[in-house]
Amino acid sequence: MIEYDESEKRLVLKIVYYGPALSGKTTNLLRLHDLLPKEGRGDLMVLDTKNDRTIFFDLLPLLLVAPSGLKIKLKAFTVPGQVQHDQTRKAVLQRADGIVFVADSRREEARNNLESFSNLERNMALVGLDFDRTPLVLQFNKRDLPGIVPESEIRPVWDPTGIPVALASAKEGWGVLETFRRIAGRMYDALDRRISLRDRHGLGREAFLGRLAAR
Amino acid sequence: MIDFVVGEERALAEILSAGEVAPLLEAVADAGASSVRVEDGWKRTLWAAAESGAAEPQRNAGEISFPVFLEGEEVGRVVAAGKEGESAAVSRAASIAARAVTGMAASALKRMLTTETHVQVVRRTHGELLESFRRLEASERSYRELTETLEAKVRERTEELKEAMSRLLQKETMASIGQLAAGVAHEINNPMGFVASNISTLGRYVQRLVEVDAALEKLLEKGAMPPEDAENLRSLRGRLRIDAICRDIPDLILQTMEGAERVRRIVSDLRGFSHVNEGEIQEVDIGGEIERTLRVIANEIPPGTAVERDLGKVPPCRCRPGLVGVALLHLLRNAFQTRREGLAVRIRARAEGRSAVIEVEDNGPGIPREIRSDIFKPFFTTKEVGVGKGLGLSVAYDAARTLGGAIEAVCPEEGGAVFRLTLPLKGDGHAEIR
Repeated sequence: MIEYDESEKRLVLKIVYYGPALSGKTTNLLRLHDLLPKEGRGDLMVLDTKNDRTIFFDLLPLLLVAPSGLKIKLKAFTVPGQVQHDQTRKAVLQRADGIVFVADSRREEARNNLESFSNLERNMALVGLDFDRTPLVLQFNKRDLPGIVPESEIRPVWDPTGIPVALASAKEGWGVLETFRRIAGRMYDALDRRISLRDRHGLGREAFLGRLAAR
Repeated sequence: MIDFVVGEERALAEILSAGEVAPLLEAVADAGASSVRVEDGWKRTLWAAAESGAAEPQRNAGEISFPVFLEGEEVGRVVAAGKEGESAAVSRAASIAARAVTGMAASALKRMLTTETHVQVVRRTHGELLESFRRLEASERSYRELTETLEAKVRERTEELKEAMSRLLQKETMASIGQLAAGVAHEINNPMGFVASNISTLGRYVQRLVEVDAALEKLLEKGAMPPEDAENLRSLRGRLRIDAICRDIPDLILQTMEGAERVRRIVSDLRGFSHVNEGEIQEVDIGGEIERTLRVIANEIPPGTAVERDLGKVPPCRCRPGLVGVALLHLLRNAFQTRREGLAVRIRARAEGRSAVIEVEDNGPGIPREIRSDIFKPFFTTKEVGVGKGLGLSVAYDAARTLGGAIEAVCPEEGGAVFRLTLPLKGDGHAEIR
């Protein structure tokens, strides 16, 4: 959590899109920006890039106000996936409230996915995030491409872990909002336990998701 | 230092400076605004155009305002009031100014985030580099230390090798001395056999002659001879001191017999001690071995030395007798060399658990503390050059080790030294392996 100020009625949250290089993290934010109504979001901020590769991060701010007047700002970030930007990934990961791991569904990318996932686990520990308690959603992206690992192989591996899996093609625009709703829902559950969004701020789960990720 | 957290909220005043906003406000003023300012979300004036000057500008009904956004959120407004008839132009200018401030804020935030992230990454990377440099230094240091100890280790091993070599040499020397002793003993034994047997016979023969002489003397006393012949005979006996000879003969014979017996015993001890059949494991009687060794070096015991034995009941040791002799010989010789006069040596033997313990105690000067660790090293000697070879105790030590036992030196407070030889009774040590 970046900020929670009761007297100012302000809550600032952080979602981080994590994953290997070129798995489509920035594309996820671009699509999300296009799919969400203008009222609830700011503009996508893309920090200096080189050859269309993220070297710092991208930022999409989302806004909603609870019936209690609590202003909730949710900042969605991407991290640079390339190995050499590990320090930047750590900096972005700090105080994350939810994490979307964007994996490349193609079979030949399995190894990169795994390495990036281990990197996520390690960096979470380094910045003090509890892996078991931080909301996490796994997105298998690029479902539009040939040579992808079929769902029948993904489910038996990931379902037992309890980590929700979403299938998507950010390029074609489908699955992105579903992924976002999954992580937002998990974040709501975690937040409700901590600051009683429903009881103290009159914000129920469906309202939260509805205002944040209306179609 | 508190880490910058990516995503931390920034106020408009943190992101933009008066100098950046001023030209925009001036432009609004030029368009005919009587006052123009930028307010934050709590309606506090952040920046105002020069001519509107006052710190707390008057709010009037004619004011128009346009929102300024940051990260999609309204964070302030551009507020302007138009002069008479200029409100439309002022409104347009203020609207443009608000959008321009929003745009400036967005790119300033971008620059700020980029810079802050960059600085943090550089600082952390630098920190990690320093850390890995420290680790490398530490590992280099440990390698250097290792190298140094390695040299010492090599020196130590070389020293051990040298010692082992010299012990081997000494062993071979001992073995050839043993063979020599065995050969000499054999050569001496045969003639000594004649000597002993002949002296015994000679003794009987001489006894007969003495009897004849005694009979002759009786005849002389009876006067059974012509006086002249008797006188001659008397003077002859007197001149030849036959009476004294007859008295002396039994002693001479006895002493010679004893001498021969001593020679025989020494030779036999020498044979036993040299143990030509050293390789065989036998039951060795520790007490007997001590006695025999004492006899072998009897001539080395300084006159007037008190040798005290306290040999308890020790079961026989199953081991190589030669080695036991070697160990005992050097320990005893060492004790007998500790002082010339007033020497008292105490030899104790007892069984302790599954070991035989033999202690040789002397009342010599003891062992100076600084050389205690050296005394079992080959060629280490406290004697003058040419007197001691410095091998005795090292050979004893080696023999004990070969037998699966040990030797240790103890220096009691009251002086002197005790050398304790421990041998396994069953002989199950290295003796079987080697």
